[in-house]
Amino acid sequence: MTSTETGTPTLSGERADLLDALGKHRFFLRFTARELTDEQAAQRPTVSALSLGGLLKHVTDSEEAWVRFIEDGPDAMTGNGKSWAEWTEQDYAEREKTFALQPGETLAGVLARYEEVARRTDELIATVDLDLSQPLPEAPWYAPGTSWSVRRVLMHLVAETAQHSGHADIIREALDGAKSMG
Amino acid sequence: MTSTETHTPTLSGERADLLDALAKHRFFLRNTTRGLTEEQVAAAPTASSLCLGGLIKHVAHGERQWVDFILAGPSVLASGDKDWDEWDESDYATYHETFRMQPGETLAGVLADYEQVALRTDELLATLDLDAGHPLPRAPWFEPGAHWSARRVLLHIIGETAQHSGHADIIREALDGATSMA
Repeated sequence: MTSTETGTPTLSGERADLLDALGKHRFFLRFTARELTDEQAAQRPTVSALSLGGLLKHVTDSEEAWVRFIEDGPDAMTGNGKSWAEWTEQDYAEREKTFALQPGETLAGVLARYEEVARRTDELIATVDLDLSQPLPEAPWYAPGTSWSVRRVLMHLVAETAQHSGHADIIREALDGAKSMG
Repeated sequence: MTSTETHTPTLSGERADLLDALAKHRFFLRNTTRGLTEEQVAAAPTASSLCLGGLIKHVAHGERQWVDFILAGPSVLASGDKDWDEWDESDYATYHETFRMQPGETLAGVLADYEQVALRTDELLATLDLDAGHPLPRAPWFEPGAHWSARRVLLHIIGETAQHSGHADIIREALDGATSMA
């Protein structure tokens, strides 16, 4: 495994491009939480039920789940030992909590955890077989029989981070008028 | 050039993954306009000044320009003969107009244009050298001296489409309560 200090400059071509795109979109998402209080990060100022703190938690959890998929296969993705097909209402209720800041959770803590998960993903990108293809787990939101390469998963992470970053742009603008883009 | 009818199934590995990711996120963006009237797609119902029709125009324009960049290099990206770091307020004002629906523009027209842009990108993707690249143009938001491969540009189009799709999710939910994700 390449060390985090020296990994980036030595990566070539495709790995460097994936790392750069992921890094950029993670930055855009974190940037929407700049200089906010924990109260602001927990607020839901739009028609959507989302808060910035909750979005950061969700994107972190999701990146972590996709890394489990890459390393340990589709059965490891949910993180609770069950496939999504087996999830009960209570499992979904537990998942709902991950979309909001819970008592005792801080923006700083959420950002630190995101950093940690991102570092592990970036280390993985340095050496993983990008062509390795695995079936997606059974879930209501995936077409049955679909397989994704590691590369396709990483593209999905770029896009998922970017889409939630778009949600975060509007939530931030609703909070205090601050815009992410010109 | 491979014909549009047959190229998708014959693409392998990385090209197929890029095509799949692009198509999926373009769909998410288009899908936010499902069943809406012309008035609704021109409305700006959130703290942001963005409307759904304008977002799709902007994403289509961005994709077209980035593909021009892949083919011809940085001179095609900024408008007119100016680099972005030479833009004045009137250049930015003109630019912001492209985010709004103009008199005579319709959702159907905007979607048809987007479809054309997407078709051109997808056709190119079948044969493009993904490692070939160009220096980025000078702009306040690019690192000086940065160089992007065709692959990095395509990842950027995926990220940009997904981020604006996130804006569109919240605008749509503000319009009539329809949500894109469970």
